[in-house]
Amino acid sequence: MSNPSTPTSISERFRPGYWLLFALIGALAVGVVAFYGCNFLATRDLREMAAAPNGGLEWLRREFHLSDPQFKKIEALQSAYAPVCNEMCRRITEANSKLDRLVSEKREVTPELEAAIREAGSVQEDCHKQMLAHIYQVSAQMNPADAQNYLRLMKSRVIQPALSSDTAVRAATE
Amino acid sequence: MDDDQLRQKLAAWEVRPEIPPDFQRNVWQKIAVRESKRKMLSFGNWNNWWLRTPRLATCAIIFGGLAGTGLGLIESSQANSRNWKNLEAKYVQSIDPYEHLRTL
Repeated sequence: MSNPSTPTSISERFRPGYWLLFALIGALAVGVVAFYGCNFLATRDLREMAAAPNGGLEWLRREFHLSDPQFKKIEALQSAYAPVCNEMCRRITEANSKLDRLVSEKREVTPELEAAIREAGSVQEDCHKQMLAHIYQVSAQMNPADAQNYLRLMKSRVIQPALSSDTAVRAATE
Repeated sequence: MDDDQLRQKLAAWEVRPEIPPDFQRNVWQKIAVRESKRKMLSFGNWNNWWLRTPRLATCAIIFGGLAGTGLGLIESSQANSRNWKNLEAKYVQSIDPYEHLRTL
């Protein structure tokens, strides 16, 4: 009969405490590698999209299921709209800067201040018209169901983002 | 008695142990009884066979891998959701001058 105190296999050569420590460290290491590896692989696609210059258009393509011809047309519309948008940015900056300066300088509503308020309002009106025209053109390129969703989203995000999109509608029917 | 006589006496001495017929059965029975007793794992008492085997390490590593993957999937889902919202905002900025100026 063999001596039970003599270790006969590798599992018996190490103290139980060492196996436990090895198990804990190994589990932690594998867990961390699995976590970061999984996270990296699963987010790679969207991270690359976010870093790309036309990431916004790629979002539009996926969100509204655009086919290649539809996407090309919308891309062309976007390129044509870009200078219009830049011009609107310039006019907004100019009108708001002027209004801001006059509001700070004056202590009563003067004709000059009134004109600046009208100018800022006019710029905002033009901006909304241009944006809506572009939004309608883009939605016309989409499938009907996607176009409906696109218009609903743009209404809430662009036209009146500070208000619920049907605020004015509810007020008219109350 | 001198040394030679003592040596002769010892050489003539024969030992004939009498082992009971159920000796082996009794030994194994005692072993089985001890192994079947439940032992409380007190602090410091690590002398349990299941702690010594590599199976514990293997199970722990597999569990660690599964837990890491699960948490990674949850985190990546949240990160993708954030990225998707950022991309939506990026598109809106490209068509809304006010939003574009606000985020400059």
